[in-house]
Amino acid sequence: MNRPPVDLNIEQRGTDAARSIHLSGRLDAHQVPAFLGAAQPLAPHTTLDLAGVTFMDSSGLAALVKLVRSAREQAASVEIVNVQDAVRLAMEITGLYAALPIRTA
Amino acid sequence: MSVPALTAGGQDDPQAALFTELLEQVADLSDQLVFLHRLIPQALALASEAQAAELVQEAATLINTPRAALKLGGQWIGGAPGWLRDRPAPRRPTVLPTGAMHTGAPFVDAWRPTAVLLIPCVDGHVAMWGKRQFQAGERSLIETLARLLDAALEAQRARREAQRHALQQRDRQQAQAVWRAVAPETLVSPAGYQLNLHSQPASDFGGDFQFQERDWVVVGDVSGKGLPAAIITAMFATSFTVAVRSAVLNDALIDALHDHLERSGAFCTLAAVQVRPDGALRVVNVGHPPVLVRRADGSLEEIRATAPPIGTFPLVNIDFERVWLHPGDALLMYSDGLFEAEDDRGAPFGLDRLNALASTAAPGDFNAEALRALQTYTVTDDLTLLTLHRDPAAPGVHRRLPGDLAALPQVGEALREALAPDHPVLLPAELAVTELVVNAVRHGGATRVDLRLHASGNDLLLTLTDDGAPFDPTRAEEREAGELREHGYGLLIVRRCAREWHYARKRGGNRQTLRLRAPAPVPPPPGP
Repeated sequence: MNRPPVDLNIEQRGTDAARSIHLSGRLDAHQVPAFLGAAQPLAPHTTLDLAGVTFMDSSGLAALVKLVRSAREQAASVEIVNVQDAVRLAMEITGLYAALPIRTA
Repeated sequence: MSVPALTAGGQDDPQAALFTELLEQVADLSDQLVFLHRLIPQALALASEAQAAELVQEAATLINTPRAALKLGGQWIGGAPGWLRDRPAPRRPTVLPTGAMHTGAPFVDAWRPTAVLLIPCVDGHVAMWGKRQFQAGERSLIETLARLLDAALEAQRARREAQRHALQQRDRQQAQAVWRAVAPETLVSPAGYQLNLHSQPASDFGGDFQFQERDWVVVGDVSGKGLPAAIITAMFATSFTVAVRSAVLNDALIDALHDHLERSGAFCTLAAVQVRPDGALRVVNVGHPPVLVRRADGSLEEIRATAPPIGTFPLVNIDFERVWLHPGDALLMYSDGLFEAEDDRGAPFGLDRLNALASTAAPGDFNAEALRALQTYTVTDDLTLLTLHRDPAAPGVHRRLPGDLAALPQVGEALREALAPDHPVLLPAELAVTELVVNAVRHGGATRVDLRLHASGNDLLLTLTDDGAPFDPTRAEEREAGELREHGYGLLIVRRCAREWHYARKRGGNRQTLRLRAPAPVPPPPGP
């Protein structure tokens, strides 16, 4: 059995104007400061690729909300892609799945 | 027998006088023989005071005396004339000669001159009258009669006492059998548990009791001892049985228990536990010593009484505490006979020693270890020990996390130890438990968080204890789902995943008890 990851991996690609942030591993209360540090300041257009995220808790969700709200204030855009089942469950339980800017394939 | 008159010889003939005297003595002897021959068998068979009075009448007849009466225990058996009733009791055998007794009105039955013979016996006296004179022999016979009566009445009293005692013994044995049916010496282990009971009454009935009704195990202590306590116990067990069959358990318990006890002027302590096969317990403690939850690792949680003993003050509400027994955990119930036992110098066994013992002894050995520890103590009260031990072989997990968010991945690890990778509750449980741990560390300042958990069907039973500041998250204000805000999602997640969520502040920390299940799919929010 594969041991679930215990850390968060952050990889950034793209330009200053259009950036994509690829996350893998856990986005929990312990990892949120690292994630927010990497994602901010926001680029005019940011894609958050959650393809490798195996677990997200309410702190991780709150961090996504924080980014989306500050993007609105700055007239920037944030888009979330590749939401996996575990993260989708957390979003659905909290009612955020419908409220967050999630692009489905 | 009367002596025939002698005509041979004259008054002056000394031989004739001697002969006459001898004859009289023989006649007296003969009278005495007849007297004793008739009366002794009757005296031996004496069964009542009325028969004693009859015996006295018969004795009177044998010595040709028309009237007799018997006074026993201050009562004239079968009545006595007024003049006799007014006389003080004789201290010694007395013959009142004819003329000493006033006759005539207002005395009834004393209408002619009479001598009166008065012979005391142990419990009263015998009186005979109605003739002019009592012979010395007659007086002696009646004295013998009085001794005979004394012996017969004493024998009769002894027989009655023995009978009464035998009856009491039989009643007591029957009562004890009934009491043991109500408070049996052995109880049945519920499925998935080992139940050990030690029931040691101080007398043949105890104030302590224990019984099972459906999935309830009940121990208690009724005020008082002996038969009254046993009767109240039986009444209480019946009330409890009715109550647990009622739809509204709480009200039924309150009505049935309190009213009955108050009416009987008794009170009762009670610890009752409803045992479910999956380890979920409901515990009630009313006035009883603390019930102990003894975790598999030896740590203890107390379930203290939430109300004074039943029958003292009206019960307003009965609190049920939810406790999960995970594999290897145990529930220990005991009566005050344990910690109030005293050593030679009068020092009590005490609760501290009890707790130390509960923590160190293996749950299956607790009763035996407690009894061994009590060997140097004197147990004066009823002693009841009941251990409910959940099968330690069943799969369960205990994980202690440090108060550090970097340890959060261990939540998932602990869950994966207890749950198959495709178990429906695995993901929701990891979400919910992570929130609880973050809460305890961030808001309670906990430096350690203990997770104890096991699966039951689709459910996960979780006990989370932490050493943080008092904080009851179940009372925290809930926020709306779906809002874009930066706080409050954690509580929402726990609420959506928890079928049950109970909080208790325990000594040194918080305890949360949760039954987690995958939430139903969330309906999409109404469109804009």
